[in-house]
Amino acid sequence: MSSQQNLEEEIQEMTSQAKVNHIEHNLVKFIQILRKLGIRISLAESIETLQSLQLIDIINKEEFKVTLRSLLVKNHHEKEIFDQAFDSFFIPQEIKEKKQTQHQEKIEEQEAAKQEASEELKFEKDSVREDVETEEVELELTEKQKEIYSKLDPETKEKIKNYIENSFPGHLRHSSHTKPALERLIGGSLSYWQRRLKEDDDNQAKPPIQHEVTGDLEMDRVIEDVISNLENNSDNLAAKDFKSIPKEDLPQVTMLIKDLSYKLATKISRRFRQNKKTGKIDLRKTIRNNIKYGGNLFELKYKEKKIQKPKFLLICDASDSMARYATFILQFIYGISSVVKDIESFIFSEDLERITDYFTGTESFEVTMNQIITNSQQWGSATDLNTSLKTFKENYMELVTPETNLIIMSDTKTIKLYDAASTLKEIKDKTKDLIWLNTLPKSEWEDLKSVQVFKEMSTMTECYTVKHLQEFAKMKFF
Amino acid sequence: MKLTKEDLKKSFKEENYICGDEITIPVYLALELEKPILITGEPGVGKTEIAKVLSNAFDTELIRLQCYEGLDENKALYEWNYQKQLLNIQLNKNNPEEEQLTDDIFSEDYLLERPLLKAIQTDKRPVLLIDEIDKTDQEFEAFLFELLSDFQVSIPELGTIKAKQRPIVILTSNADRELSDGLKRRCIFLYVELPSMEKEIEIIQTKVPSIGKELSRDIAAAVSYLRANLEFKKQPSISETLDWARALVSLDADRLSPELIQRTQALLFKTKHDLDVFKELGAKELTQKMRA
Repeated sequence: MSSQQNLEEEIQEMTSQAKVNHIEHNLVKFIQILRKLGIRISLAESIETLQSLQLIDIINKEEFKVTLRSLLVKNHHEKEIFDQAFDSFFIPQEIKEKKQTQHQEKIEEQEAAKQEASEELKFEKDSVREDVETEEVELELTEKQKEIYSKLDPETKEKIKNYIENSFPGHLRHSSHTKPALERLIGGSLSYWQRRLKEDDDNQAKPPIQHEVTGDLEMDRVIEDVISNLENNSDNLAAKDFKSIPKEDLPQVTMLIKDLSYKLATKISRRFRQNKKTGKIDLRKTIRNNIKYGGNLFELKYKEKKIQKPKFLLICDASDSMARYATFILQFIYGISSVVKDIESFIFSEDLERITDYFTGTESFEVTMNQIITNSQQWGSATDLNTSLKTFKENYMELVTPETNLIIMSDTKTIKLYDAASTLKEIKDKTKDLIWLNTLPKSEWEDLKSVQVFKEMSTMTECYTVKHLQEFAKMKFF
Repeated sequence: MKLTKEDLKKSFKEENYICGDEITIPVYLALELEKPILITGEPGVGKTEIAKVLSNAFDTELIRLQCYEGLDENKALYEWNYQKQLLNIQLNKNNPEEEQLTDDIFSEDYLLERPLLKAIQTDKRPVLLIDEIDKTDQEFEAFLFELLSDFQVSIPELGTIKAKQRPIVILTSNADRELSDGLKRRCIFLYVELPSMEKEIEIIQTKVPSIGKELSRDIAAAVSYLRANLEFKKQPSISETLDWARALVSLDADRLSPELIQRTQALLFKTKHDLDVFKELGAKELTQKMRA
């Protein structure tokens, strides 16, 4: 009887231990998901969260959710991500398994499509073997490139295949250079299609959160769920690519930007004022002010730090693909005009045009922008940064001082890349800092030579959503 | 004094603060883990009210530090009474015992106690409300989170003063600016949302007992429609709803009508932009939509 009892107790202990381990395991996994989604959670916070579970009824899902949220989340934006992740992760086992199977099937489909792409992207080469005349050689393309190929329509695929077959006829097929040359050409063509696909599909233009695949089926499923829900959530405008914001939502985005400018303006003006309090005692003023008390230092006067307002020179790419971004960036910069020393603004596409004078009037921002769009020769044309920078150098260099923060907003794509870079270097040397607001997502930066070239000489930051503008507003010169 | 979860829920109810687990659980965790609680949310949703509820629930003093631009240690923690020290020096001008004089003027008699010092020196565990922390400067915030982690203060002339009791600390923020990671890490986070329509009816009926059932339902429906469908700079929050309800009761209203809405709309909207947005919809349209 006693051994029976012992056994039962042991089993009970093991079951409860397994339960605790299961919760711990799930919680750790959930925290890792949140980290992948951009929420910063320290080890100490994870431990505290686990300990706090002893204080609540973990069977009560709502109580469990609120507890985790209050310990792991730190602002409203993170709360949204947390709620989505929680609802997707903590679900009944059978639904979890079903969703995982669907996710697995999706991955397998993608893998099959990539495999098919590998099969199709082969070229025929004269064989060195005597028993066969020709042999098929597979091109070594990256997984991403294969994925892009699999998404193309049959007609485009056929074009690429024909291109491979007809590119190197006759004796060139023997050459050892043929394969790498073809790989470069096809790679370039697929990069072009990658950009085209993204431009065509507004909803998938750029994800609101940059993430990496973890390799864990469950984690990847939850992360993908959260990201797709955030993309579809119309309230999440701050994370939406400016280019893909529907017309009806534009006033809301304008409000968000105005709000951000207002917050930044109060932050700048506040910083200047606070120095009064922390300054040193101004002896001269103190003595002068206390003569009325017979020389006793009754009222102290403090030194005030000299106000140093930042000075900006903004050059915005207003070419066809960039015009929407230019409007938002200009609006943001002019929103803080009351607290910065000086703003000079230019737009460029084929050449440069100064637009500072448009903003000195009393008209609203919307009216001013309409005037620019109507009158400007540059709004919506093609991009030539080099010519534009040369024009700037010839005509407007007197506007640049060592205090100037030069801000360029562009996707870096231009003709005469190296000439543009060398002209920009000359201008940059005369400024305090060069900040490049890049409208391309970071994930695409590596593939583009132009980004690499301009990144070397500037502080480059992503800038295609209101959230990016918020990050920009946190930069040190503000 | 310790409160269980149920006690805390009861206290909120007794203080006429209508809320669910989404508010009581974080507050309970903050009390149990002895951590400050950072409450954010739209202005007027009842953030500050939580501190008042807790002070009543624990029958303890509520010490409030209202933050503003330029708030510094002198105003928040302590300050030497410079004028009093000077007078003492003048009175003892001819006294040769210099050391004695220095000890005198840097004693507690010459210390002006500000809210933070008061909170750690009080015998009974008080509720310390640091209101609108986002209005202060980053330097002050850094100073504050040091205080909140150790609950002790160093005054160079006096030494270290340790807290007699760890106060219940409540910080509120309207998210005017992002707070530092250090501060946020030390706090339990609570975002107070605008209430659902059913909950808002309950709040109105609790806070304005003389209101009729139909009017309270009309008000909650109207406000809920406005929040969901119009783009305001400042959404009408609970405090505006309650002001509106009180105004309508004082006008002897029993149902909402377009005329009444027009006469009292100033209580709901705080900027010209919001008033214009509402005018575009119109009071008549609102009464139709909210009853639909």
